[in-house]
Amino acid sequence: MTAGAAALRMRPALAPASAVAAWLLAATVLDLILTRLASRMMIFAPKDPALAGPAAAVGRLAAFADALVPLVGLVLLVALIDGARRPGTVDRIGLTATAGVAVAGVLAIAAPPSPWMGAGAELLVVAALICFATPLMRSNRRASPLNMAVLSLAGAAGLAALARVLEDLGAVGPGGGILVSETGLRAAGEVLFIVGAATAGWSGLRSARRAGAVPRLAVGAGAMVAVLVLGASTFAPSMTAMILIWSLGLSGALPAISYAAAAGLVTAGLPALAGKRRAAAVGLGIVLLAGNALSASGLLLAGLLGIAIAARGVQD
Amino acid sequence: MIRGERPLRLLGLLLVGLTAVLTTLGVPVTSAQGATVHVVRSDVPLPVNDPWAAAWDAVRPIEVTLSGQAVAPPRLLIPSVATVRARAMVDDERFAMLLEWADPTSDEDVLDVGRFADQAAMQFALGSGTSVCMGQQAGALNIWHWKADWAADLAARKDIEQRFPNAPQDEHVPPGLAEGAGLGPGGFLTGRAAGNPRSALTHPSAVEDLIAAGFGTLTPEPFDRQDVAGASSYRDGTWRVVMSRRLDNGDPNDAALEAGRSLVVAFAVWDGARGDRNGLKSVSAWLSLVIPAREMSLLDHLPFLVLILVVLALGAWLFWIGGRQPAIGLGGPPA
Repeated sequence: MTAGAAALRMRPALAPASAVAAWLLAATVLDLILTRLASRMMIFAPKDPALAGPAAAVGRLAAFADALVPLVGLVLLVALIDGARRPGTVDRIGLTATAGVAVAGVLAIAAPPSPWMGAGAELLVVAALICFATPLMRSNRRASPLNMAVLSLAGAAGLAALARVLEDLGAVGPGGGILVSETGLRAAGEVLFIVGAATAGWSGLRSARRAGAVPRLAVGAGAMVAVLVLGASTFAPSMTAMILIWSLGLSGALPAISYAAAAGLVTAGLPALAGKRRAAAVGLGIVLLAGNALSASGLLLAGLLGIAIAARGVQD
Repeated sequence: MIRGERPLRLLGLLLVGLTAVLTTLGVPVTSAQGATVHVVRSDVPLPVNDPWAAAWDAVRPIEVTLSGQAVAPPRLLIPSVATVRARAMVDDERFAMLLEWADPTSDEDVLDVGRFADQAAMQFALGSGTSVCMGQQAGALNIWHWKADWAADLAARKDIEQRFPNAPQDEHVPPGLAEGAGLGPGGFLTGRAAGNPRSALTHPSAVEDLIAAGFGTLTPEPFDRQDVAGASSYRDGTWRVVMSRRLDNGDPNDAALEAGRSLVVAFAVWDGARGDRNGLKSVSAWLSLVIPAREMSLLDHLPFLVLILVVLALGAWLFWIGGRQPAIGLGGPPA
């Protein structure tokens, strides 16, 4: 018996992180559908007292989904920490920073966050992202599409966090000062998010093509989704922009073709990727469904954990 | 310790059950990490009547991106105003918000069917989970709505006589008529007879205090509850508008402006020259507004210190765990 096997017997995992990551993916899907779409669409429901009950029911279900994401996220974080059997210091620092982000989210419920508190939490986000991305940047395959996808999505989350850091630090001291363009950082983050999504999907398709098993059903679904997004952007631009910003935090400022291409590639490519690199696909799915620069602490935690899972999935 | 599928399922059920219990009890689990307007505490009276006061320039603004109101008709697809800068101050008595935005023209009257005034508004969510789009049944809004024409009227009321000086006035109330005069059974001034605040000869303020709980429900508060003060000034292509109110006014329909409280707000701006009115407006998403209890002291940094301590403790724990175990990927059982 090796020393490693003996250690495994001494400390079995609390729960396999891969299983809990799949739960987090499911919780994020639920949150997207119920909290970010269905409950917000209820504002269009007529103000008829007969509809007040169903509207309230959708609201309660949305609140359930909203609460489920951070709770599953916390369990996943504990599972990752408990199973932190990697020798890498960087990885452990990343998990520590992620835990700090989770704690900051809980503290912010109890007391309005001061600018220092907000900036501190956002710097932890940046630190965690750097830690999770560092092994990918050091990797021999750092230019591979899958690596680039994870790095792009980590960059998008990092720019959104930096924009919030600037906002918080700007509020600390007196004086008008120079207004740094937080809006510019967010715009650059959105570009990275779209590039990351498209690259993730393309990576999955490329991998399936090399294996000679291109999933025709998924490719067909991807093409349909792309056409749907493009058509909706063309014929109902206002409603499409509203759904994009409410559900995924995308401003709709980029050309419609970019959103359509990214949506199509993700729909076609992620299922294909799941066949060979399940952890990477699950992680990328969590990040993409958690949205770009959304402000809910649960989604922020989910996005960070998604990056961690995806980065590990790429390396394994 | 949990191993195998059955305990995993139990853990999943436990999570779902815990979530359901917390949701039923209304225990919040998530917080907003979005843009925050940090209110600056002032020891001297707030410059509520001077939008260009140096005290305002000393407050660092937050630049809020606006988008067109594209949810309910009449829709505005491209925002007329790209961004609005917000600054907020508080003292022991009042809360004041300064909104600043670029506008090439100053539009201060509506004395023609094709003329519209510049306007700005901020809304406070009165409940949790309230829709940013005029609120909803489960969560109403308190809205402060500044109108450039109302502000101009407070200084010197203008009426159709100024716009069309030679028009016959066979059915129009001449200026200077006593309050309430001219209202006959035939409805001499229909809007005024109906109590429409827009038709009133005088307004208590340039800012209207309103409530809403969904599209089509926007309602002004009673005249004696109109307690939001306004001051505005247009200079070099920039509007600056100050809206202020007493901190504690005891009105359940109004935003609870209390020291040490965090609120949720959003902004809207109308450019009259571009025909903006009603739903044709540039709007923001929700932002957090944090009103400090007092001047920042060491105690205010307590959550920050707690955060640092927790992170240090977690880090130490993680390094201790990591040093004791071999690497097996995502923490699953070995193949």
